[in-house]
Amino acid sequence: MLPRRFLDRLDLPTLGIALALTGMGILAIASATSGQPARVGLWRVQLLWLVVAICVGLVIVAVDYHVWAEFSLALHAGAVLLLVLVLFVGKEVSGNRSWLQVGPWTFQPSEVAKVTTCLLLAAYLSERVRGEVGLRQIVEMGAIVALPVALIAAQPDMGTALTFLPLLLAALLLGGLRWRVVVGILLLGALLAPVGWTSLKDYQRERVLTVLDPERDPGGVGYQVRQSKIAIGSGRLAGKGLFRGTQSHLNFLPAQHTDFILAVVAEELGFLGAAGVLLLFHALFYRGILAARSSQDRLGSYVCLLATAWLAGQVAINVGMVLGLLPTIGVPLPFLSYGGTALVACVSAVALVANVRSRRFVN
Amino acid sequence: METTVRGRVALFALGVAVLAAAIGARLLQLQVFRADELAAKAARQHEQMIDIGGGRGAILDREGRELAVSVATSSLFAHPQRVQDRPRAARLLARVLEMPESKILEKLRSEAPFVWIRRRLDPQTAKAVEALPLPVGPGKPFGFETEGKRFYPQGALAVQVVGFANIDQEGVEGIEKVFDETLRGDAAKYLAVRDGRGGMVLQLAKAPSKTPEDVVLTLDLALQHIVERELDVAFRESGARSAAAILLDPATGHVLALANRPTADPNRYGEAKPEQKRDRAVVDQYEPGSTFKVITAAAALETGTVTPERLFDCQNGAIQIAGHRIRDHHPYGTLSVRQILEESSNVGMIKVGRTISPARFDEYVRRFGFGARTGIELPGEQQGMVTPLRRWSALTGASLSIGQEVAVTALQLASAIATVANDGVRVPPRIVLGTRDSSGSLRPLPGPEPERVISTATARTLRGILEGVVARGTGRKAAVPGYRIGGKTGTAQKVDARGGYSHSQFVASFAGFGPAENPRLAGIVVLDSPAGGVYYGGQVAAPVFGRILADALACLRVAPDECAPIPAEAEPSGSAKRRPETLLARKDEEQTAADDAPVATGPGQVPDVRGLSLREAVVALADRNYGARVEGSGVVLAQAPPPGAAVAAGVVCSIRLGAPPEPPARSAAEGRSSRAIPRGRKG
Repeated sequence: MLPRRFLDRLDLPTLGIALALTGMGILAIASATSGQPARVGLWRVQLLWLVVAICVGLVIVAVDYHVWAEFSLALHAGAVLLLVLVLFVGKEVSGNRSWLQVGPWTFQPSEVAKVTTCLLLAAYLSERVRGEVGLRQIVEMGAIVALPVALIAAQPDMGTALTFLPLLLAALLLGGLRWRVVVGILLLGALLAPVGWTSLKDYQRERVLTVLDPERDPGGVGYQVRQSKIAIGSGRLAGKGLFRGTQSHLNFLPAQHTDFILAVVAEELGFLGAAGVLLLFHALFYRGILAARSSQDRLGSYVCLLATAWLAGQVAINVGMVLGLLPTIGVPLPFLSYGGTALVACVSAVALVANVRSRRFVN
Repeated sequence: METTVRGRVALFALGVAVLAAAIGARLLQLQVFRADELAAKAARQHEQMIDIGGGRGAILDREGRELAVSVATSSLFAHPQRVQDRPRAARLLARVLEMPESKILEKLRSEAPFVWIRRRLDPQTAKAVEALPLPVGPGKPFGFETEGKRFYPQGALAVQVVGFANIDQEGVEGIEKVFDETLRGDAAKYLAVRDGRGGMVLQLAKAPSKTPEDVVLTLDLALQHIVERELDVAFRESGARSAAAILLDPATGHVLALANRPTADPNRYGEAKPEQKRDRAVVDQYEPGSTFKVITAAAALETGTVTPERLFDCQNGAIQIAGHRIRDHHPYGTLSVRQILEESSNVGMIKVGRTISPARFDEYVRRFGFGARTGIELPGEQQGMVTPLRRWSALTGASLSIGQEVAVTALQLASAIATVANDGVRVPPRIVLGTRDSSGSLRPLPGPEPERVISTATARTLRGILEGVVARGTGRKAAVPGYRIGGKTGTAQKVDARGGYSHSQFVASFAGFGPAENPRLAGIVVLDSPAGGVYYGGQVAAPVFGRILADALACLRVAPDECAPIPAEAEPSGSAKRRPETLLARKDEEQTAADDAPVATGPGQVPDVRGLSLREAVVALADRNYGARVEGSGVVLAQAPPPGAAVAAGVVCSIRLGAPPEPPARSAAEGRSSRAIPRGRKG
């Protein structure tokens, strides 16, 4: 069905890394949920989502990224529409209206929006930006990002909203900012920080303070981070063995199969396992940058870099939280955390990189 | 690719590398450099060694009826660090648990991962806690754990014997204390791996080397109930400061019943005062007075210095010894030894005592078990006080003869009288039959060695004399219709604050046995400081002993002595008032044999005993757990309540006997054959 030429050109190392990370995630999910009767089969669900993700990824790779870029505005508009829709008919889970139900499947439009934002920003950068970005471009790119972010923040899902920030930063960086503008943004940020601080909710402020002083409230907000650090630390160099983690299996560890999945890996496979996962991520990002450098045009470079920025940013936020370096923000770890739409989105990002990579010698 | 973009990509790559380095360093810090600290935290958090003793053996009577058992209760705990609004939680819990709010708050502010809030809640309180708007349940900050709690199904029955186990199920008094190790067994050590949701995974770390065992007592709950009931009535009506009663099986030394007043409810033991918990029968010592004359007489009869019929001049009620004047309560002339005991003459008994050498006297006193602990399996037993021979004064021999200058426990005296009842062989008293393991097989405790104190002949002679005390002497009120009872009264003056003998404070007692021919029971009733001017042992203690023996013998289905001489004063005066459960027959309610045909009855109903002999009637009544009050002799002519009446067990029925009626009423033989006596049906 697929032409042989296509398979030859496929970026197998990149896809292989993504597959390895997902496999690692499914193992960790199986381990983390093995002690919970209500969740014991979740790894199979994740496996099913992987099949879906591979199909979506193949479709993305099969179509030239120029075509995707051409339709990026329409795709982004569709994603935004879904985000509006979810506010009205979405399924509410623990206070967040983030899911749309289609038959037996539930999916998160916010994850879809990440892909479309990535595409649209890349298209915008390659089409509209020459030399350095001006104020108009900053505002327009800001709008591209702000629209989904505002809608996601309204769900309210602050964590996911935050993951769009690395995309915008990377876009601005790649677009080329004058130093004046950089300084201006930093100053503006410093000025707005107190305003932002007061506009945070109490629990959010508490989370920030907890990073500075982990023992601040060991029972409340600090609990998750404390438990996460204990789980990771007790894993030591080589870990307690897969399916043998005490902290995760005994439910000390919160959200162990979703946001804190890395702690499960670190506890059961030790420093070697966790560092291995992080090295895989690093290799993935390296492949992304490599693809960007070898791209035949600016659009390809931007697509690769933005996709990489998104994934790297999300990894940094999640791992920073799990390791107690950042406040507790509900952001899943790409490829590893349980969650179907997120997996499909991450695979889509990698598929975009592979798409660019596979077309570097075209013509 | 354009150079400008290349430069930006390099910058981007640098950013990713910096982030990666930071994360890698942190990971190294946590998993390598702080690994020990964090691993220790993890261990502390999820591993906790917990003793699951849980079970505690039961305390049972000789028939296996439960005196103390452990029931499962809910204990409330918390994971303090996971409780959100602690002051609110403390406020809510304080109201339901009836605990000070501050105390709960203190627990909730604990550093520990696990604290008990309140243990062993009753079911209603546990339900009330569950109904609170608090996160209670598996995986929540609050939860329940099942723990055993001691429960005493018989309430105050034999409470001082059974004792008490505290909230942690540790025995602190009585048998609970002495047999704590046996009852408790060996707690299993569990590595309680607590998960973050409050659930618990138990891993057996050390198997129990021994499971909890039951302790089987020699007590017989039916007899205990009788003794408690009668002692209770006597305690209330006599206004005594305290009281104790013991029933022994003379042949085995088994304590069949042991009761004290005042008493406590073991299920509300915290509220009990010390005097209510006191096992007076073994921990209180007192001057026995005249009951001790049995020992003097036994020593004199055994050494052969006197015979029952030897006469002594009682000097009209007073004797001068070493400057002290000792009086009788009534002036007597010349009395035989038998009469001295019957009338309880001090002067006569002193003279009987003088016939024995001090060394011999001391020897017999000690051989009867005085001045030494009996070795009963109860805590705090006193040994009493017997003046050592070398410290005897000129007065000691005389004092000892009449039970002064000696201190005894009620149990020692009961054991001494049981020795006489057991043909002179002393079997030291014991209250624990053995232990029972989970398989239900009884492991008997080795019994103490029996020891002959006086000869069978002397014992029988003495029993005959003591039977006379009840038949004719000071112990008349101890008489039991249908049975020949023996015993001795005692009225001892208490030593007052000035060191002299009080004229208003007395210890009234009666020690006895029955039936006299072949005693099945021996025992004692002691009342300390009865109020209201009636203080003689014969007046206050003897009737209590008689009532106890009447019901106890019926309960044991001891065959009555057919030709028992029923003394004139068999009915203790005022018995109607004392015994509210007695259903006195009124003529119009009486069912006589001539009235109608025999009535078929079942359990819980009074059997038809009309036309039966005394012995048959008492056995038939005892079979259904009814007592009998007898009037007249011959065959039963009338009974109350009437046959077939539904009456609670333990009630005493009145039966009137007389000459068998002439035909046309059916003959006694027919009546007997037409009514099967349900003997032995209960096995």
